[in-house]
Amino acid sequence: MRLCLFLHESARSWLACLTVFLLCTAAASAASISGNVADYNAAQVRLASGVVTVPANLVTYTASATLAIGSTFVVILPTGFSFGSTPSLTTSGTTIFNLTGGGIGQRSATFTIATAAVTSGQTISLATFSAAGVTALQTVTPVANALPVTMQAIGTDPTPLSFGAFASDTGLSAIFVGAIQFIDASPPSNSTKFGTGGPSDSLTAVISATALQVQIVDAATQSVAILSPNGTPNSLSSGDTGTITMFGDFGGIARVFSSSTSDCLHPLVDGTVNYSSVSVPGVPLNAEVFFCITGSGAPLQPTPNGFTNVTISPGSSTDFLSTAVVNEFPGFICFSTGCAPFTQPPLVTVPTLSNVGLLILTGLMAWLGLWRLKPQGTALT
Amino acid sequence: MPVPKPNHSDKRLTTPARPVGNALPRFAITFGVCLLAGFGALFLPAVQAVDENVTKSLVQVAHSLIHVCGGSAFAAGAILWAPNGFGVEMKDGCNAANVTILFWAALIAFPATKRMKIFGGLIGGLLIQVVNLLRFISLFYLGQYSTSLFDFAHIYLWEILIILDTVVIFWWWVTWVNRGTAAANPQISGA
Repeated sequence: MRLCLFLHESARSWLACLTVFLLCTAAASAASISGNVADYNAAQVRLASGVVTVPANLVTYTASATLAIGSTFVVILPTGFSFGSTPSLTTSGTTIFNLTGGGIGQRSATFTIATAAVTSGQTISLATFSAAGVTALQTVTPVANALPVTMQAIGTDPTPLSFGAFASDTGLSAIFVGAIQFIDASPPSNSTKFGTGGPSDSLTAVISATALQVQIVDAATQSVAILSPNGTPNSLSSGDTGTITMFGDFGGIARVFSSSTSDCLHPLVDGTVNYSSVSVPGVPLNAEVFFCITGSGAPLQPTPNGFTNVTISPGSSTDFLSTAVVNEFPGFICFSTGCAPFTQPPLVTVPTLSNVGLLILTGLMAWLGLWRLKPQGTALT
Repeated sequence: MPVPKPNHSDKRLTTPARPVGNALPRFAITFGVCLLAGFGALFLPAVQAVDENVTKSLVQVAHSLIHVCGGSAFAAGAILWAPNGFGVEMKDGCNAANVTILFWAALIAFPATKRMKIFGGLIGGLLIQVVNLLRFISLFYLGQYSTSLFDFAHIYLWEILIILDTVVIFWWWVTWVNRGTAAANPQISGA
């Protein structure tokens, strides 16, 4: 509006204003693009050698003006992708689209509107097709960064319209819940056993539980369905297992193992213990599994902030990628006297040197420096 | 790290002939100024933040050393706890920063090449920290055994050892520098 007022002052103002108005009107009524993100299991995309089946209606174009018979409509896949099957378009109208360029083995497909014009408000969608070369999806590609498909009605749209259509995820969903445990700091345990004192003190304690499941929806938005490369909902082999790694302070721990029960009495698989992490392999899918640790008899270390860093790796399985868990509660391991190890104040050390010591040292250093610099044969007074 | 030997032909390592008449006041003044600047810097918030992190790191190192040697301790910030509840906190000034500053001030004031000063500063600073770490760990164990022994070691024994340690390192460095100077300028040095 301000631009128009400015132009009004010139001799050609009406013509210029009319041009701007027409451009603005055209922009306001531009065609739109929408769609349904195809979010694949990245590990299975690798197994499928980068060939996936794309569901229908991946991208939908809504016309804002009439696309006349004989006009051209172009679809372009993300960089590196190509059509593995003959692409086709569907419409809410009656027209038929003839493929006149690109297609199988090509990144783009060019269609000609054949039998009837596509009128404003009608939609054009991609029918199901096979896509090859989707190697970019072999690593996790979040929905927010989905790879775009573009559509353009040549002669109508000044630039191609883009929609983020291809994403990928780990394929596995892991829910983690930490436990609350205490280290008995009082005698006779002296921090070597879990418990709060008395006969219930034990060298073994459960520290967490997890459930590994097929990933149904993406981790970030929890709204986009995860697909197998064949276009059906994501599924994993029932024999798949994962390896869980929990990072914390595991000083004084001799053993870590999985258990089918929270009382640690039904061990499944032993894991490995390091000072700063424990790992347990062979965690099955679709079952709640508990993780237990056993002290060596040496003083146990607290983990007051719990297990905030937990990862799942596929182990010998190949149809899901390593993933961070959904950590519902990190748990914690504290001393029975509190998460700060002991309640009494610590002995405070005095400085490395007292003020007197510092003065003496300063004097000694100065004397030594001056003595070594004194002129030959001259006594330093 | 091998000690670089002063070399006649190495102009970077050997000190130039010293104007002996100016050397004494220059050393005294530079030493005093550097000392005041160094201790003054310890009061700056940015330096204090670094100092605090260094202190916590030293406690972590002490904790790791104890663990590697088969002992038991818990590090929580700047406090090292024993399983029996005894704890020692490394407060400001316990991390030998003041001793290191004093040593560095003497190094800067003493006439030598930059390379010699950097070498001496790094090695000397490291040795001071190592001795201070031993002091901290020994006090951690002595305190669990006997409070009177802890006090004696803290107030007298380690005080003397730290002073001796710093003086000996400085003496060693000055001797090494003077040898280089004597080799380069035999007419002016009797060291």
